[in-house]
Amino acid sequence: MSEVSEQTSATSTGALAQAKNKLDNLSENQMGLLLVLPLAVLLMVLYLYPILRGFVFSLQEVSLFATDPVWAGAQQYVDTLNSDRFWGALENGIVYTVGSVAVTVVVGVGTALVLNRSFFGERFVTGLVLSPYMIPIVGIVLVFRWLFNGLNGAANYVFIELGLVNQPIAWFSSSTYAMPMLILISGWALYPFVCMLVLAKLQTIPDEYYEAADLMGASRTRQFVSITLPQLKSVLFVAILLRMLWTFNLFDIIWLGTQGGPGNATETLPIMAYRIAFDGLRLGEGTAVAFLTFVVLAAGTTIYFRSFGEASA
Amino acid sequence: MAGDTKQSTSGSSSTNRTRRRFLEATGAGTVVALAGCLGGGGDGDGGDGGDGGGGSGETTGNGNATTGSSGTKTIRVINSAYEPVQKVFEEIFSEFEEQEGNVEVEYNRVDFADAPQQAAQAQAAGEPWDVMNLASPGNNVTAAQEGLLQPINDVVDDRGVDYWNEKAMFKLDGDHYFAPHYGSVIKLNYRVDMFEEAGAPMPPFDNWEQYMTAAEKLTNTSKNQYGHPVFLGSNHFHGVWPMMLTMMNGGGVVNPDGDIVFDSQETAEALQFVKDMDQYSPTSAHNSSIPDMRPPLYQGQYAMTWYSTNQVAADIESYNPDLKGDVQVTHVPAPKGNEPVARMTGTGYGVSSETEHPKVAKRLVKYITERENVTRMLTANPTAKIPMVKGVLEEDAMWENDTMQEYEDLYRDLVGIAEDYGRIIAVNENPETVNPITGRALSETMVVGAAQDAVLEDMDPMDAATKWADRMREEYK
Repeated sequence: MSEVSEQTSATSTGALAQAKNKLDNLSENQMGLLLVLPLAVLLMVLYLYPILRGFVFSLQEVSLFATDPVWAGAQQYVDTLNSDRFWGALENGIVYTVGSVAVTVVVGVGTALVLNRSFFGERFVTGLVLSPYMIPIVGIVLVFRWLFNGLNGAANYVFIELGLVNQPIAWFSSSTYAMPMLILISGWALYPFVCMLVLAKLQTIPDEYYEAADLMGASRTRQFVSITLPQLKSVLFVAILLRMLWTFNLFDIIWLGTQGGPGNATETLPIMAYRIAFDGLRLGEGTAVAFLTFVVLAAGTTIYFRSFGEASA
Repeated sequence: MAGDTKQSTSGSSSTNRTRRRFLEATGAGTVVALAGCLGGGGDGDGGDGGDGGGGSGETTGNGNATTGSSGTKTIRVINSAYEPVQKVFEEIFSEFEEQEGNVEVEYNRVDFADAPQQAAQAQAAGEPWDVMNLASPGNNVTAAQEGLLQPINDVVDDRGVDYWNEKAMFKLDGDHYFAPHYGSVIKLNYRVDMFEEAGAPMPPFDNWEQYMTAAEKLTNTSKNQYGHPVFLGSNHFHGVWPMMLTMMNGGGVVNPDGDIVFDSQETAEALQFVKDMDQYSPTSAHNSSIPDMRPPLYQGQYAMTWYSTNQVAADIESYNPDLKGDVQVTHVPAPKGNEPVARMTGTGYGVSSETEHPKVAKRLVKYITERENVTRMLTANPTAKIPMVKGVLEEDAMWENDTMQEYEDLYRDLVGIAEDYGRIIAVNENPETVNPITGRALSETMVVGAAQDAVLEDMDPMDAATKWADRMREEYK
């Protein structure tokens, strides 16, 4: 028994020694690759696999019920691109993104300029300015829906009392007002992000620049245009890019506000993808819309970088 | 210098060796940890089995954690019951566990939209939901057609045909797949006080002309009061009303041969009626969310509104307690001479085709649908739902509840609407056979699409019907 045990022990020691030799003989690069491998595998499983699986879905007709998808290939993309609904949703997405980003940038920069000055209650006001970012989106949208309720909202009451309108406006049900309402909500909810980025940058601009400008008799507007804005270029470039990407992909505000309606008046690509996949139970087609959204965003980002990348450097 | 060089090289080599050993040890550790994680996943699955078996069980077969070593069988149940009824389900399952002795019921509640995916994924992953009610007749019918369920003729036949509401029963290729318990029915809620004040013809209406006349008389925009809201949201639920109008007018989505027949004169007339009724609706109703369809009735802005689950008792309590007795229910009327249609739900519970414990699962379905238990579910949210098994209204327990007593007349009217005009469209449209198209919520989504085009885009109703019929043919090809 002991001989067998000794033999087994010797064999395993030999195998270990062999493995150790092999490891010792690996180059630095090979060893590095070996060590990165587990993480790479983990990332592949957690990150790449779902994306690839999603892409395969987008080439299939997959019912949420069906376990056996039917191959549709690129035709799914061709059909989507040929539909008026897709281009309508793209147009809505662009309007919503441009409008929301414009509101967040204008309000964010304006507020940051105010907060950059010292005044009584500065900290309290800063906290107040940040508060929309701390309130859950669902709460913000519900408050707006309540205020702008088409039948008995406070906004309609005030506007009628002031003589601005004759009868209640269906803010969320009219194709004229629904999109501006969503832009207003997004602007209000998301401007603190731009405000904080800009405020941080403003506090790094040396006072000497403004003192010199004062000495040369430059007006406040001139100082803003010639000193402040150029200094903010890089931070605005990043803020606009991020806000653009997030807003184009935004789902919750639109879904909670209008669900893409009335009709398809506020349907953007993420809403369209959701409606097709979950209301229509067509997972494959919904995923194709989601991938096309990715392509649109990638193209938009490239154009943005080419247009403003160097100027912001 | 040479010595320095040698020392330096030696030092470097020594450092490399140390670093290499460290990296090797770290790498080995990572691999082991990763392997441990993966192994842990496997253990975890087995652990679920342990839970199923009261903490000491083992997995059986392909890893489905449904039978413990002590013989405990886990039955997984999925439904979409709301809060007060969820508690009754928990009680019922707990009683079933006690009754069976070696069964544990794992209960999960899902939303309408998630139900199909959850059921299909669980089945595909080899861990099916043993007992399922997938939130709507459409989902249930599709699940049966996709092979997720097995026939339960024995459950249905054991009780006898007379036990069940025949409107909720259907066969697929000659087999029963569901045991119904309760459901809901679409009806009109209306304000008696507002009708009296306006001198409008009181429901029930005999035809569409009366319906529209009432809506007209009840509309007073200067008082912010509207006769009848026209809901045109994109949720399939908003398509229920135009769907019912179309069917009542002799139209429909599909004929018994499975052909799309939505582009008919009957559909166009129904869409024209929707368009005409829009004169008596506020624009804000067009994109109303589902929960927002009811409150304006109690706040005096709508004189009528349609809805499914009957929340009158709870709504009066929430919005306007002074209205007791002033809110009543009636059926949505049909055009003159035609039979009204009141869209119903209530297909009930099915058993997974992949369950490892079909006998226990069927016993649970029978237990859930016992008259006494259906009564408990109905009284948990009083007057909200209607029974799909017979004889429940004769149960004493049904009327012990204060709210049920207070709203007895209204509730009996509601059950009457279901008995007289109720149709589970997916099930009843073509008797003895399930229609694969009307069985899906998608058809209601498309019907509301046609109504949106007719009203919001001012499209000719026939053109709207044709456009959406073509879309249906494309979708269902």
